[in-house]
Amino acid sequence: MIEKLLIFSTIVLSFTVILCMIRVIKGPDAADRLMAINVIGTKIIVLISIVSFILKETYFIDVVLVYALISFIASTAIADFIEKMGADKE
Amino acid sequence: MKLMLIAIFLLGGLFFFSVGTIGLLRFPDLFTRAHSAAKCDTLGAVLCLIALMMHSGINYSSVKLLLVLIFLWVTNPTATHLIVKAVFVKKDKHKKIDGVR
Amino acid sequence: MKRILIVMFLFLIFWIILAEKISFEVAVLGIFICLWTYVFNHGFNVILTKNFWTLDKIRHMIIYLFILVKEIVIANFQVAKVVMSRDMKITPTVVHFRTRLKSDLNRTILANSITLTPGTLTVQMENDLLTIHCLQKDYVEHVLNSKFEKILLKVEE
Repeated sequence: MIEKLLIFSTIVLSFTVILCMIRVIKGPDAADRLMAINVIGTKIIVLISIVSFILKETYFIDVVLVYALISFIASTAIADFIEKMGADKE
Repeated sequence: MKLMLIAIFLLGGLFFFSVGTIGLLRFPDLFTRAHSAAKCDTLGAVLCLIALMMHSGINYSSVKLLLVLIFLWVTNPTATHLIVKAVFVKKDKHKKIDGVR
Repeated sequence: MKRILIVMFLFLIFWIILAEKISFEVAVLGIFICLWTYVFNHGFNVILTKNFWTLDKIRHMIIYLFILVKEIVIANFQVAKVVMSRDMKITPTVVHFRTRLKSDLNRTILANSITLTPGTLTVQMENDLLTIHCLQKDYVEHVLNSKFEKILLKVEE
């Protein structure tokens, strides 16, 4: 029963990730895309931790920790890049 | 009983995730989209992770999930703030330049 | 010396959580890595300034956490209602206001918790001037006399 619930939630989460990809493709600005990718990162974090309980492999949670760190660093770096890109244009 | 609690928390988290996604698609500009993204980050992720912690019980993996949760709560507002600030500073410059002209 | 011990204790707890077991070699390796990390991050120990860990402050911080969670849940449902309604009645407004908080750490906590509650978003923070973007005009009053700032003022005393 609990496994069916977990599998159902992975399916729903993957569906919402696909919906977010619409915003990533459509987004008029770089910042919109970055925002959508940030949301996708959070969803992937939850997704990996659910998958680790479905497969009963606890070392996937270490992957989650590292993924959270890297996604935060990527977001800050690209946000900094966007800010500087605006300064150069003017 | 435990199953019911886990189901409620997990489905609540999924509800907030989908509402956040709908908001991300429906809102008209970047700042309002950021509000919607913040909703995903806070309650959606936290409810899902708490459900998983309940499922796991008290062991090392649930403590690790707690670490991930604290990390998300500290870093996600910072990332959102940085993205929004980058755009806001750019817009502000535009305004000032227009004013000079 | 006392500072080093507290930092080492926190780092060691973190290391043991990551290592998932307590044995001799894990402890030796952990102490080595923790010392290394301490040397590299010497300048960033904000939480270890003098008299941070008094009982009164910890009590106020726990109350702060509970109020933060409560506010976040309420705000989440309000914003969810706005998103799901057919005609989205949003009136985005930008507010400037000055905080009475003195230390940088408390200001950062205030700005981050304002961003964490959906509906309000810290756009910019220069010294004590915060620029906040609100989703609806009703939230402006919430921001201007917020519960967060009152408790953080008590923490700062």
